[in-house]
Amino acid sequence: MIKRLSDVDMHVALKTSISTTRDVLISNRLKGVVSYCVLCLILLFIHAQIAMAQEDVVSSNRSSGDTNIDPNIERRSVEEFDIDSENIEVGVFAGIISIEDFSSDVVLGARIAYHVSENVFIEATYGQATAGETSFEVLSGGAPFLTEEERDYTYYDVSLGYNFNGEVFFTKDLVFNTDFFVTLGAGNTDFAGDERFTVSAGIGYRLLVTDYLSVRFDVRDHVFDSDIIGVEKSVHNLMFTLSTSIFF
Amino acid sequence: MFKHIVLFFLMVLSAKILSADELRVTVTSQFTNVHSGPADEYPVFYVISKGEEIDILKERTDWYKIRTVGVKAKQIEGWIYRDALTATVLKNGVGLKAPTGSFEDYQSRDIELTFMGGVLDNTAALSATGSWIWTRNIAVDANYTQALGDFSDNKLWSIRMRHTVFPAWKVSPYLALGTGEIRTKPKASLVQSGDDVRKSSHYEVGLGVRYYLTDGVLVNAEYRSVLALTDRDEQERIDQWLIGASVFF
Repeated sequence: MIKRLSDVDMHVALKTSISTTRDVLISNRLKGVVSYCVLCLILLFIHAQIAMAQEDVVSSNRSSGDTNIDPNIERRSVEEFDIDSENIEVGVFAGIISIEDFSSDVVLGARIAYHVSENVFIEATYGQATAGETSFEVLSGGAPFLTEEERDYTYYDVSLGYNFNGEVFFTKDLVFNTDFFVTLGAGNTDFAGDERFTVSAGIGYRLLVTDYLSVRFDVRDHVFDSDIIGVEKSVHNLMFTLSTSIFF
Repeated sequence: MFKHIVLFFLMVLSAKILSADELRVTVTSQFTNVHSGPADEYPVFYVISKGEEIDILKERTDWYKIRTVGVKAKQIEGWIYRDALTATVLKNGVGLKAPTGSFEDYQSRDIELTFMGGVLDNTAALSATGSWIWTRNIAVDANYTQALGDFSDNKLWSIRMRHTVFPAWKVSPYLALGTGEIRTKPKASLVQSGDDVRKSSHYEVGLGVRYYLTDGVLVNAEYRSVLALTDRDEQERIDQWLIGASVFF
């Protein structure tokens, strides 16, 4: 038999069904919102990717269009863009140094220069020689002034140089580029057991056999205060050298 | 020593002969002067016209060695100025820009070389520094200074951190902190002087200012306060004033 539902029961049942329906509706809506959000996010992500790709294209177009590109930057990525730069000059030299009061001797050395511009360069020089005997030592035949070790003459300096560029014509067709240059520098001379602050000044002539190979003739004066022979005085040590150097 | 130098020299020479990199470009300016040597003083002996192709062989300071393209017998080799290189394009139409040592190049430098002269207490001092530019503000310096006085020879070496406060300014102050060693040797000609070299560690503080002068060259002036940690009871403070120039790569 069918039991008649009371009003109260009806009300409860209705309320329950409504709330269930509402729950379902809400949960469905929630799902919808979530999936909508996910979709939006995906779209947003795709959009961002496309935008970025487009930006790349635009920027690469821009760079290939009108602006300049530094070959230094290209150098990193593409090997054949490597332009050989030749601003450093290294060389070895040999010659004669006249050490004041101590006769003249053979000097050997090396130098390295950096060419800042077509005219200006900075150069570091190292040289060594062995001093001979003073006239007094030779004539008197007495006790030597210095020990063998103290006769070792080594010096180094850093100079600033200025090139006067030119050419030399051996014949009509045999032409070489040349530089006449002056240098001024300061450094250190280790001689007679002491190191001395040394000022150096010089002139020279550089003949470029090829673009990177040169033959040089240098005259340098090294000046320092010395009391080796008893009285304090400025000594001048003139050096004449012939050298070969390469630019790289 | 000399043997090693000669060996190094020969190595460089052989590497030089083996290396050859070229870059083909097309001239876009109306005409480009070709000089016989890498300087403005050398005469112009050829003119490249617009649209002509050239190979760039090498660079010397602001000059680029080029060779025209064509029959071998008719090829011309000469030097063009940096600005002329800017008026050329690669095959794909990309322009070229040469590094100029400009202030912009200065700001992206990696290595710096500095030579300075001045006084250390009352003796003439010379200083050489190699620097690695770490960030725009911070550089690491390796420094060697010598001061050869009447009574003693002083040699200092130090490693220091230098902070350039305003790297974008042409005149820019900097502050440096470092540590190293001082070697002091009395003059051999002094009576009663021993041969002993005195070594002591030191700390130094440097305060200086630098000015970007022109194409790749800077002028520096610096004061250094050196605190020597001697074996004696009191520490020794040495003042150093220096002025000099830097080049960068």
